Amino acid sequence: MLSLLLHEGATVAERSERRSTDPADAATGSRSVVSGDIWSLAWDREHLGYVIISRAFEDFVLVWPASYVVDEFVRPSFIVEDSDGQKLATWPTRETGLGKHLLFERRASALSDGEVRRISASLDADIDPEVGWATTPAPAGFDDLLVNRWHEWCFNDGHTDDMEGVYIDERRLSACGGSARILAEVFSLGPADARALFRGEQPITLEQAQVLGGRLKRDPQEMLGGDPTERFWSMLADPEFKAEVVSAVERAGLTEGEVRRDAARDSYALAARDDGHDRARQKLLDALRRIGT
Amino acid sequence: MPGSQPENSDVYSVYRNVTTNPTTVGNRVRPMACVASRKFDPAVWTAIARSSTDGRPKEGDVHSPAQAAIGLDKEGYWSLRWLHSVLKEKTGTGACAFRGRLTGTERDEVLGLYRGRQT
Repeated sequence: MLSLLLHEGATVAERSERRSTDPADAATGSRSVVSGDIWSLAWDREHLGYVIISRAFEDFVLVWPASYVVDEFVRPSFIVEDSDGQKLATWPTRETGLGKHLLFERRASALSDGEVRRISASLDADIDPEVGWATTPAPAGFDDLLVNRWHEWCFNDGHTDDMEGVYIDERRLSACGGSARILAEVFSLGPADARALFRGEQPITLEQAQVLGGRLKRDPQEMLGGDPTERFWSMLADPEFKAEVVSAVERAGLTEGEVRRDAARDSYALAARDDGHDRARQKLLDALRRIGT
Repeated sequence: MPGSQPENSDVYSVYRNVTTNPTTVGNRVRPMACVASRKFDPAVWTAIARSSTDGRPKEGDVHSPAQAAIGLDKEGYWSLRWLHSVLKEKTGTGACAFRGRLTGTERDEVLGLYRGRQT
């Protein structure tokens, strides 16, 4: 019991044979995320489980937890057959928001977009959507484990702790009279490290921002901005990159968060201001392929 | 008993007790609002969480002013990104303490965000 819902010990390599058999995916390599499709989830090479997509947004998805393990076909899930003829259970009342970085592989389709909307709307109105509800009661402890585990994944934002902090905005710092040379002087850095801070490739602490503000006699907030690598980090969350990310994790022995952080920073460092989506995408792929080689 | 039976727009402070992965460690207590009390689920209700550090208004997040009276000490945003389930059994306990209710425009916008998620 709970073997797949808790997924302990299974790696993505052991699970990746269960990929989509849809000829369209095989032909195009499509990774588009569509309502009603079944996807596997993975983080740090660990297979986390399956979901049915209930709604896809630009940076995240809403999902219904799902399981192919017959012993887990318990209330209040309902049973549906996927496009490969395999039965699975799904919990529409336990809809969860997840970052797209957790999506690993599209496996099959389960429901149409219209069916997902109808079931959601009925449940929101406390009306029985008349689906094939499981009849077996959930065993003791099952709901607690399910809720706690999905709570954890909901709040997995994929970032590493060292991405926290504040970032220098190159243009704002220049407007305040700052430069890479002054950063080198204030923080006793070499030219390369000072330039990385100047371009916002690395965060600084609030205390460092205060010191810099004191040196320039300006409010630190006037010289700070958001994480400039976030654009690349967000792009990297698209599941089209997941296989390359997993390969880099295996090759380099890093955590998935570290691989994503390094690839985003590397791509940003090499980016030109006028890079379009295709060039940025290629820089991310190149950065991932450099990790651990 | 007030607070143990969530209704839409009720606000709770929900404690996180599963933080096994360093990348997932965030605030240990988060404010959350009930957006679906879930008649068809005996074990959970649906919550939308509020973040004071990661609001994305351009992506539809709902602005929430600071309201110390209901435990919202800082300005923040409600986001579908943080939609998840909360155990009914723990609701109203120390792990999930009732703080009050959203009102007015904020209540309407949060419930509208949730109800409009499929459109």
